[in-house]
Amino acid sequence: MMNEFNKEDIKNIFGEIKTPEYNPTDDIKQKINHGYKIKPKISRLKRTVIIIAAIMGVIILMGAGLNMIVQRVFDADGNSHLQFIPFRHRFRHDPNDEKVLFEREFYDYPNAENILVIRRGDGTGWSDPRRNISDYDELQKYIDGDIFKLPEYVPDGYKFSNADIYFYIDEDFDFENAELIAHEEKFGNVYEKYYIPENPDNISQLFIYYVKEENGEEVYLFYNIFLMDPGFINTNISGQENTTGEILQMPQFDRNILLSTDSYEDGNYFTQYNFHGIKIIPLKYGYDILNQEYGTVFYIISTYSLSQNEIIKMAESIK
Amino acid sequence: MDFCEPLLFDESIDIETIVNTYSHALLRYCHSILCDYHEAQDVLQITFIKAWQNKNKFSGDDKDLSNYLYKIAYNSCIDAIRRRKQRLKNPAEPAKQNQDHIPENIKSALMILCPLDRAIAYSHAVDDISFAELAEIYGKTAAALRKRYERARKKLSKILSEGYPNYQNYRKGANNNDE
Repeated sequence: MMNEFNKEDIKNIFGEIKTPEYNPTDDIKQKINHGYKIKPKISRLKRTVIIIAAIMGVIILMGAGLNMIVQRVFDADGNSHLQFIPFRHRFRHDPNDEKVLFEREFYDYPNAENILVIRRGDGTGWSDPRRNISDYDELQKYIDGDIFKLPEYVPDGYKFSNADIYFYIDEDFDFENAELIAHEEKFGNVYEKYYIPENPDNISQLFIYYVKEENGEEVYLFYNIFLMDPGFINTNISGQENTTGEILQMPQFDRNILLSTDSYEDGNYFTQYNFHGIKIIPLKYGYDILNQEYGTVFYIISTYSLSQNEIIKMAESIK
Repeated sequence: MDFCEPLLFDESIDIETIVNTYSHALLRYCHSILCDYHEAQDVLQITFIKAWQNKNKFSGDDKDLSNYLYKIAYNSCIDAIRRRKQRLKNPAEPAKQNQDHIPENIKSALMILCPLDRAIAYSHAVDDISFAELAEIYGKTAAALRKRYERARKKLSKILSEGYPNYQNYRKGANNNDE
């Protein structure tokens, strides 16, 4: 028959263990003073093997197709969406970032007139000279009434904000008449900024920003006149897969105009650079108005719901 | 626990004071878990060194240093038992002379228990620590510790009152009943 022990019995059992006195003070002090380190539970070799195995595992998983992560993003209206982002974009520092930031700063010339930026080295080419205008009266100087025309009607509430005027130059441009104002050598490239004399005959593009306040937010309307080769218009613009167009007769033009409606809702964004950082503006509605005779394209793009009727009304008022 | 005054880990305290205050109680605790006096001595040193080297991590809310030291001592005992198993796999290492200072029947009985059960039985019966306090040290609920203690108590009763062979038969019978 078992005799069940009580707490006192258990205490007596442990009391049978005779633990001699031991003063470890000197040993402990000596070890602490000599920087004694407790041996880790996992040896350094084992730890290294585990880390390498973990890294290999991640690489294998990524190779097996698990190369995307999901991130919640918010659009300009505050609606949240799930966005798939490749691992490499999420975790890897893109060495190109620094270059992009530098170029963005170097290309920024909001208050200057007719600045040409040239990049030499492995990145050939240049940015077209550009002039930014915030005075609507001054803008009139560049409106020739023939190709570059302004709409007389702008949807309710929109006001002129500013305009960019781009000038065309070709490969034979004479730099002797230009003034070098900045020179930088970075990322294997040579960056140069030139101030060049203005030539209104060489305007290639007008980009006009209209803005209005809607529910406390700025809503943009872009009006873009793009001078280009008529052949390009036919093959590249009206032939786009997602373009749905209709031919409209517009009395102010000699030829038919193709009004096309492009879907910008599938992730097209307009990136506006300003002094306070970058403003990403989702483009929702876009219309191309093509004048094949002159080789001009009028883009009217809005970040806010704008009816086709409003767009046509605006297009008809371009005189 | 038979400590006079609980100590605080602050700037004024030195390692000598901590060792003098807690060494004997911790040594007995480790000795009871390990049933090996030499290992208990080693673990005691490791406990104080770990506590001292990690004193910055000591939670300011937990003013009772003894709980902190008991946590470290228990974990160090478990590490020592793991190392012991590794040593058994390595027959090249010479066996240490037995200086346990524990009667053989008591040692056999205690070794039947798992280290946590030995620790709980010792802390509750000898140091008279409540299950609520033990729960803080071992990171388990008081009810779970109470159950473990009761089970350990019954095991010790069976082994020490009827002997180890009878305990083995008792175990077999219990298993058959389970089936």
